[in-house]
Amino acid sequence: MFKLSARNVVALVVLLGLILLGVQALKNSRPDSAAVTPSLATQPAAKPNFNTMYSPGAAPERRAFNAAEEAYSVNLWKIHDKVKTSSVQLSFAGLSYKLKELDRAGVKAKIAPQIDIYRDALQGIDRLSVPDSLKELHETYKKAVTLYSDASADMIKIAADGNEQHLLDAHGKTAQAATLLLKVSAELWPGEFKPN
Amino acid sequence: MKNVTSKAGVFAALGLASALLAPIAAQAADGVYSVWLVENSRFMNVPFGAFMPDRAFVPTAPAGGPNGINTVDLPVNVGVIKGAGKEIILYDNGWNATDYHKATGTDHWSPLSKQLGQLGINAADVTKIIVGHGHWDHAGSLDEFPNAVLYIQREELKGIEWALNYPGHERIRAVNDSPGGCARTPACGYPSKTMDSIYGKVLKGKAMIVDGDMDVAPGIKIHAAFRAHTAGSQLLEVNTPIGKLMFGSDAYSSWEGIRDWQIANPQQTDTVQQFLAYEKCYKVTGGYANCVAAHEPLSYSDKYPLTKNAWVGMNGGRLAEITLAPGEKSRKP
Repeated sequence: MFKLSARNVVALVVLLGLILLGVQALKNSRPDSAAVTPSLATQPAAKPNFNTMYSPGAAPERRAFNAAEEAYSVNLWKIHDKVKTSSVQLSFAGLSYKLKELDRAGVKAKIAPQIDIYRDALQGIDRLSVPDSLKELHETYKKAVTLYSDASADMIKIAADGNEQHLLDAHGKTAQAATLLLKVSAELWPGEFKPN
Repeated sequence: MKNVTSKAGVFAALGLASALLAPIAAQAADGVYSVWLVENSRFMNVPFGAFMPDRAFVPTAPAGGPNGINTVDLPVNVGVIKGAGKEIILYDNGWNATDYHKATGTDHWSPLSKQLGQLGINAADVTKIIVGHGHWDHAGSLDEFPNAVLYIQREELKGIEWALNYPGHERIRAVNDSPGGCARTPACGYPSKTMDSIYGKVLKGKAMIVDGDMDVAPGIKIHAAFRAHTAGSQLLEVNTPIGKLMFGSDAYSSWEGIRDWQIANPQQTDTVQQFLAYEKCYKVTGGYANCVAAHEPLSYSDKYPLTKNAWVGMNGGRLAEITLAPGEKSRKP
């Protein structure tokens, strides 16, 4: 027979407390319906790979390159690295001039180093060993750099006469060149740009 | 005859009254806008944790729960805002560099100018393009809208130029700087083509360089949100029949993020500034329901109620009719 002693009352209270804690813990372990995204909850079970990398976008892989193609891709990248940054420098030289943050002499100072970059790039491009499979791409890239070179030569003329037509002439060329750069990038370096 | 004269008098009086009241009526309608959302493209299979760190996938988490979703598809949303007159404004601009598609895991893309055709809008009639920031997937179709004036923050241009000229580590660059390297170089996202297009707008006298907050038109206001995603991020408040909307571009990458106070898509983001941008929506619109997100995975579904009045358009890209101003006809098929 159960005796209602002080010790038993304490034991009973402790037991009830433990039961209550257990019920609460069980409740918390269930998915909170308010926090679940219903439409996503109905998606198929997630793939079992652990997302530890903070890298957005599962871009399709580039086709497998042979050794010569890979070497070309790596070597052209070294040139491309400078060309694409330089191309944005051209844009900013023109922007800054139009926004009156640069005078004509300032434009000249900004453009002159870019002319050197394109000259060096074109020389570097001509020295590359080009696999037959990438010859067309190679010519496309060379055309883009030639356009940038010509555009920079146009832009620097504004220092001499202040005629903005030089900027418009140059922009026609840079717009075309930028599109060509993308074309080559997509073939050689997919994944260069990610969602952001 | 008398009756006819009397009727004519009434019509004349009505005509006079309407002529006198017309400017007032137009003024009242001017400043209340119709709004649509257009999915310019969709980035497929993006790891959720890459988009929202708080939603990173944990294999042991309940499937479908906050940490039980591995990848999401992110729409690239563009806001279309139409006034009673000729004003047609785009908030953000999508992108049109098709050579990017295989590099970015993109699907359901169509040229934005053609997508607007589904709403009966001619690209040449777009008057203004307000970009939330200058990244390539938000300011990438400027050349499709030759008559539109671009609105971009001076602070955004300064931020890009700073990163462009930064002499330090290669992971801090404006222009993507290693194969696959834009993934976590938070200053990047401004390729040659995008910057050339922005410059082209300035060169041709079709750009407004904005310094901070600005009233763009009656009922439309830019709110600066510097560093809420990029250096010169900007929000857009729009007055509509369903109350004020607040567009946020990538400062509002995720609507769930705004609702649940979680950061999303951090780039040059000061996370405090992103939360302040969230708060701006709550303050201006009265809650989170009318905050318009750029990449919300739940877009075009009833899980994101503002965008639920949706349909599927060309190449599987979705559209939503958010609200119609008085007199505006529905574009939903």
